[in-house]
Amino acid sequence: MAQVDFIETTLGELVGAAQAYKAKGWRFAQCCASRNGDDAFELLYSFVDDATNEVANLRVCVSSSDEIPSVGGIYPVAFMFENEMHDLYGLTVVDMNLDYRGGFYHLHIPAPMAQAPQGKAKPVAAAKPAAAAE
Amino acid sequence: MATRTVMPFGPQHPVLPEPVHLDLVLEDERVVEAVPQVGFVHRGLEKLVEKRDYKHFVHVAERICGICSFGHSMGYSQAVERLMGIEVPERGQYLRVIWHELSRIHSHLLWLGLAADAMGFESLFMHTWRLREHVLDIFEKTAGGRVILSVCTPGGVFKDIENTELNAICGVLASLLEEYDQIANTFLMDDSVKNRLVGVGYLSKQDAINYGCVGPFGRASGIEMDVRMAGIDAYSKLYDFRPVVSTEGDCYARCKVRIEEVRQSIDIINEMVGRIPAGEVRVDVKGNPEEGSSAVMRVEQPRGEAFYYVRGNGTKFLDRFRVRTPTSANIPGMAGALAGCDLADVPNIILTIDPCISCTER
Repeated sequence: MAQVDFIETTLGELVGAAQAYKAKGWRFAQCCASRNGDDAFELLYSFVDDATNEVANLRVCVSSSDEIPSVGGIYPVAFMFENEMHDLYGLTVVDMNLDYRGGFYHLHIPAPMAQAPQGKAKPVAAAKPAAAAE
Repeated sequence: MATRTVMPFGPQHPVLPEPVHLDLVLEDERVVEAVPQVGFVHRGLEKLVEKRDYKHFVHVAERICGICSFGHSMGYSQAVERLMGIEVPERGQYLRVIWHELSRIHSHLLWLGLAADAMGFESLFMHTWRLREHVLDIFEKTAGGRVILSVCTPGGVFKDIENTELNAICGVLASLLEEYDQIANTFLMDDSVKNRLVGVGYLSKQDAINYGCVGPFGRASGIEMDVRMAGIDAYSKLYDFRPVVSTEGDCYARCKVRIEEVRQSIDIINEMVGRIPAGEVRVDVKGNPEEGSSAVMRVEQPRGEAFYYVRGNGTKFLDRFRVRTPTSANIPGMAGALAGCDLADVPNIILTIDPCISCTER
């Protein structure tokens, strides 16, 4: 099975690392955010070398106040996922090549994925039938 | 100089089974630029992983899409198996490949029918979907469902298929292939089809690489990339696998690639049935994913590469489940293919990426 790496990196090194993968001919597969506790998020940027099927995942830890630099200038497809990170997690991505300004997803509540897990939903008890009239 | 106008296209349009919107910047009848917009039916299925047992969540993952439902259940299961270091019995791996390739056949037949319908070729549409019914019948016979199969689970598959039944499936596919050849011939040789597809929606190989296109859309522009080449699980047992590639880069090439992939999938199924080992189809999965553990998995869905990411936290609930669907990767390329086309060709070009908005908005 092809190698899969998780590489810890920083926000400052992110764009440079993406440029290095582009220079090596690797494809940008995706980026996404995950909750990492209160006001902390993990970003995952995945790159694939289609010649060897190797996958590299850059992991970056950020807070909600951080400004995340866009990699859209290097990989144009990134705008889909960066807008998604903004809409679902409320993160700020700067210099996106196509910025929907919060309108990428039509959501009922803002940043729904940034909310803490609410535990397993309890089934709603069925209402008891009214006692039959005597 | 022609006046530029912006024309909204979708989200409701006769050729679109699902809602996607485009702002088409036009100069007369020519598209200069297309700005895509999705996000009308976001369902938040990924969030559900926080309150569903990771073993049960496979049924949610399967419902991401009604067409590639089996592929999503397989991708999620394989990601969890990699997360927990689980080895699936060989027979289970083979059965997964057989069901997955059947899904590809039915997905491509569905797409070919939709393409014929979009061109106004109703009889071709009906014949194509009639053939697709044979595959759905196989699903029903082997799994009990025609759309949602619910056979894949972390650790293997819930149901075995008897060897006699597997041979019967090969018989059904052999007779399907005879009729399919006639339909494929019409798609590839008929002038009315060619007039609508040849030279339309061209995307060069370099542009396809720059946009990060995947699946038949990318392969029709000459990108030799197919996750099945990575040899994950039973795909590593195939004698020789080469992706179907075309270099024309137009709508016709996308149609041609999918037509050949149906034949390729039938060959893969025949090979798997001929070599499937006896034994168990599933191992019991015990315990929970470790805290801080994470894994990624890639699956070649009918529409292209799907990317799965899972992260454990030591409980029976996962911290994160993420799917990057092939349509998400192909939408920028679709916008690129639309630039410079005639307004009348826009529906055909959108259709040839085989967009699945249900997957994209999971």
